Amino acid sequence: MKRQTASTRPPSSRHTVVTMAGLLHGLTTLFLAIGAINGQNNLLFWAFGLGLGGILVSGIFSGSGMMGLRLGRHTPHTARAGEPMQFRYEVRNANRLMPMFGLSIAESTRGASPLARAPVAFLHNAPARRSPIAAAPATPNRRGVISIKSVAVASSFPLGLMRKIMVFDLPATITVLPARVRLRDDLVPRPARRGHGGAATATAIGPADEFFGVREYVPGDSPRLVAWRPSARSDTLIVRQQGAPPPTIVWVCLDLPEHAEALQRERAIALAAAMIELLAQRGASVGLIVRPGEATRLPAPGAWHARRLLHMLAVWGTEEQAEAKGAPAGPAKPPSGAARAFDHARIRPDHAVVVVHATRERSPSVPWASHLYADDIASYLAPGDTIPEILLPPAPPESRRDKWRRLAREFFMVDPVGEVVTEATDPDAARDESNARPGRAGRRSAASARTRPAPSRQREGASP
Amino acid sequence: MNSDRGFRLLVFFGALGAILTYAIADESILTALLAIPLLVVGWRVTERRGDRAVPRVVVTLGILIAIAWAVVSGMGEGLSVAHFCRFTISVLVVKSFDRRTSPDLGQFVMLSLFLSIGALLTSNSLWMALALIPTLLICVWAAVGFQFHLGRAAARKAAGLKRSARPGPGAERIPGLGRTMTAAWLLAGAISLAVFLMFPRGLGADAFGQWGNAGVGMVTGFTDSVNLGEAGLISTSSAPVLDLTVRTIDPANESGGRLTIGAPDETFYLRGAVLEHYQDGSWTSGRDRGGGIQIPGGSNFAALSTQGAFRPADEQTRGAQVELEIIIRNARADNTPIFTSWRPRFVRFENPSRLRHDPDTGVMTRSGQSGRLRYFVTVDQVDRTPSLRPYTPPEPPPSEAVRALARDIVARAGLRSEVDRGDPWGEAAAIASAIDRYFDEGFAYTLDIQRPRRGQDPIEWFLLEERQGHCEYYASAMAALCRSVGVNARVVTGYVATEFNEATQHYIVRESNAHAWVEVEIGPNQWQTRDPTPVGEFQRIHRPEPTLASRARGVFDAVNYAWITTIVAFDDESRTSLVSAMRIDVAAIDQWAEEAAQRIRSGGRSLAFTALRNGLVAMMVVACIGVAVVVGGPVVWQSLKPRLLAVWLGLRERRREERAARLAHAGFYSRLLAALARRGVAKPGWRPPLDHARGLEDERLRGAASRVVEAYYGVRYGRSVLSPEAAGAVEDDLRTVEGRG
Repeated sequence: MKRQTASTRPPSSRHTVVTMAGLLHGLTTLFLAIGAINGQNNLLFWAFGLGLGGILVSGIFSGSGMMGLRLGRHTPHTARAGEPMQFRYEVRNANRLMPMFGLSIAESTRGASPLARAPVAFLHNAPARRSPIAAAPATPNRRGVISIKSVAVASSFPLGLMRKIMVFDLPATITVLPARVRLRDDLVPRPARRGHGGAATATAIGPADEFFGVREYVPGDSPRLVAWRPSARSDTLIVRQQGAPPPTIVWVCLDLPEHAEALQRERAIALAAAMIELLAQRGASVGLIVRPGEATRLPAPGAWHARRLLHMLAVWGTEEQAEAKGAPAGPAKPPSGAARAFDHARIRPDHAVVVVHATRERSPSVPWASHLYADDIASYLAPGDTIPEILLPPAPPESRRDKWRRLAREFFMVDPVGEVVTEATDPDAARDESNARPGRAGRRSAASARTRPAPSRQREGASP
Repeated sequence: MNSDRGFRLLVFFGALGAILTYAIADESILTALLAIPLLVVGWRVTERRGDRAVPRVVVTLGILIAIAWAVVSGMGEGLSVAHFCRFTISVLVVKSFDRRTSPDLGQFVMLSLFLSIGALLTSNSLWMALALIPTLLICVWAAVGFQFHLGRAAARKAAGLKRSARPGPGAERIPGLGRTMTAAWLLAGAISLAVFLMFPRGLGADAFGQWGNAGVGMVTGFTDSVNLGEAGLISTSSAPVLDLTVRTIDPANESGGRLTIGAPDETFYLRGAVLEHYQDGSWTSGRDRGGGIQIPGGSNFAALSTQGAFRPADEQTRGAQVELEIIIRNARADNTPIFTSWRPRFVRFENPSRLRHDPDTGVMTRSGQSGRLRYFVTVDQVDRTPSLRPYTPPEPPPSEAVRALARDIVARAGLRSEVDRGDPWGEAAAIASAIDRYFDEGFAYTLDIQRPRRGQDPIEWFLLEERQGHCEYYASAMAALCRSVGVNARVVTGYVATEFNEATQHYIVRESNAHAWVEVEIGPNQWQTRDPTPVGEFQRIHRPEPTLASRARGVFDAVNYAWITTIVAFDDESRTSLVSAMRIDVAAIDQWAEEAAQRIRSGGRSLAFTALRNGLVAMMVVACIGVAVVVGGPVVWQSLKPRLLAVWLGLRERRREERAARLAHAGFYSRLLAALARRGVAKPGWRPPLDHARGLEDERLRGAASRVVEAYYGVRYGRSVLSPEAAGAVEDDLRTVEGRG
């Protein structure tokens, strides 16, 4: 994946925070000083000196170590909702001698963010005149845009008495695309009829039967393509070139009525995104209509256009889009009729249309359209694929009885040996492990959701 | 340390060390025996069961019980350091069964550090210090490890993982951490040493009562009253009470030279209380303790006059005397007995003290700063105090049987059965000797004694029925027998110094050295010390046969004494001499400290606040110096750096120019190489020039080339410049090589 890189740079600000441990240490040192003065106990004088030394040493070592730090960051341009991504940091220690230890690197995001928690990386040490790399995993829990404002590098080394913080201005934007869904191949629509009877002129060279032109032979060309007559006329070998068939034009129409639930909307958007990706892979020209906002992208072939459509879906109706527009998130405009939307979109009879519905309601649309329903997402998946965790319905709220049972279990019972969380470095593995623990109400196991037998609606089958 | 396992081990050993340190400081084996196994079991079981060995309800209940116990016992006995420490230990033990999150481990480290401070406030013994230093090191390492642990936990939390006390394996080895922490330790140690050495002593002492004084009032084993027939306070503990160094003052030596004396077989009786009144089996002093005179601390001795007034002593007035230097390890603030031999003449305290002196008995009590008390007493080797005091017949004992026994003893010794009123002191010494000898046969020494019948005089019971007891019985019986025949005698309680440490040339006095003996008046106000306790028993108790253990203890005592005199007893005098040796003028600091102390003393009600203010000011001064070093150091360095850099660059440039100038003169070497090449004897690149020149076959060529190369060496490496004559010679040789000469 292509990454965006911010080169190492000095901090924009730095400040120091006295921690609770530092406050306690200061009070204890004061207490020791009073005890030493009052009791003339020499060992207390020594202990007081040691306490004072601890404060000074903390200031000196953390201050001088942090002074020469520079930070750079590598982040991806895009991410997928529900899939882990990684922020990588290059910490350059410009000090000649002084290493720095225990560095926490935390992102500071701007406004609403698809990240539930700001990613934090931890670096054990940054040796002098070296540039170690730290990585922070993060998993966006929805689509949208992550706007990163700055990165804070903090350390409370050596004793945790004070926390030195340096803020680096490293603005970046990451688009979180809708959750990844793999659709069945047979869902790709075919045009109902060719409106112009195949009279369209080829615009590119391809394997079709249609003649495109001639050119000189170059070694490697198939002898079957040699046009013998022109060759005889020109005294050089001439080969024929066939034209490519014009790409299939498919409109993906996203139907997001106002009363649709959030999960239904997300599923519909994920289905639309998956369909766009699938069509783009097949070489189709894909256009997008999003209702009721009536946003329209005219059909065009190619990966770049598909990416534009995905970016549009990524921010559609999100808080980030609302912040950018200064309006509340969600559908802003009243729903309008499908026909009106299609009029605007200039759908012709030879265009294929896929309508992705967030709800079960089938709005009036073109008669030859295929229909996908968000609620039936499981039935559209390619064999072996599962519904992403973030597109699963949230766990039902914990009943009072379950809550008391859980509290009682935590309070009285000892968890069975061998089911404790062991040291896990892989966040996914650890999360799976913790999810797999029995009796954790309110935490739905993704693994179990994936292996669960298909619900009854999965047997409904696809509409197309 | 950096790995998760290493960090947890550090936390465990920090807690273990803190409990052990406190148990040593409190001399409480029970604490160690109870807490340490529980901690080990709790830790091991919890490690195996995934940080939760018992249900949370048990942990919560345990902590609640600990809090309730601390509150109840605190309300009953008053809050003290011991309460705080025991509460901390109980919480540590309880929490060892439940460590589910990272903060739990941080609390472990914090509690261990607090417990270490509690140990510091409990005792200042060497054993405690030996246990404390590694414990502190471990705890600080654990605190450093906790920073890494917290960082890993924060990263884990941000990744959406569950809270746990095991956030990841950590790094097995962090390059440079050891060196950095060593530097940090050295710096912190240097700062603490500077504070220890430079902080003025005596400032605001006892402003908040006994707070901050380790084990104040632990002068034990000694009582200032004797109650026969009751369970005595005879202690068998070997805990040290005081240290005694004895020096002779040689009157012949004009400089007043002092010579440390003492021997393993020499005993010094240190009087603490004189008991003259006997009634119903109890001896009391019968004198009030009011009054007293303030004497300043410092280097001047104060004379103890018979009128109870003090005046600075004149060194020249002393005769053959002995000086006792005594360090009471933990003295009370009020009425601490000043132990000394008979008869004290001069006394000197390090710190200002209020001293009460009874000229008749020589008993002194002192009020002032609590804790370690160091004083010097000069005593006469022979009691030669002239006195015109008339003879006063002593109060006879109530028992007629005792009186009859005394007359019988004296008569059997061939002496008069009653003191001659005309010459009351004529046979006093002889009578005392006869009575003293009476106890040599037929008596036994025991601490396990029966009680006399109700209404029976304990002395009569001891002398005529039981005939076994401890030193208080022997002393009481002898005093009663002497008084029965008209000889003045009194019971004295205190310590006997018998354990002489040859390494340190001082006596160490323990609780078990508490003793009671008798003083008999053998002249007008001249008192002779007599010890009726059987010699064999005395030797057994106070001077046991040396064993391997006692020898080892002697070595430890020597180290401990060095610890006490250099660290624990470090005072203003030591500080002044040390700082003076460092050629630092401390007069201003001392004057300031003295004025501050004076203000505190005369502060009245605002005493505590003044002390606190001065303490804070002193602390701020130290902190400001530290901050100035930290903040100002880099600034000064930044300002100096360009200049130093310029100087260095200038030097380098000058050297470069000189070298260039020298090499400018060394162009002839290129000519030489070219000429040699033309003649077919080119110098290979790998061969040293001189070696090549000397290896030439043509003798003339060889000589000329060698001289040219030697001149080149001088210019190139010897930093010399060719003189005109040398340059001329080189030119001639070059011509020869080129075939032109």
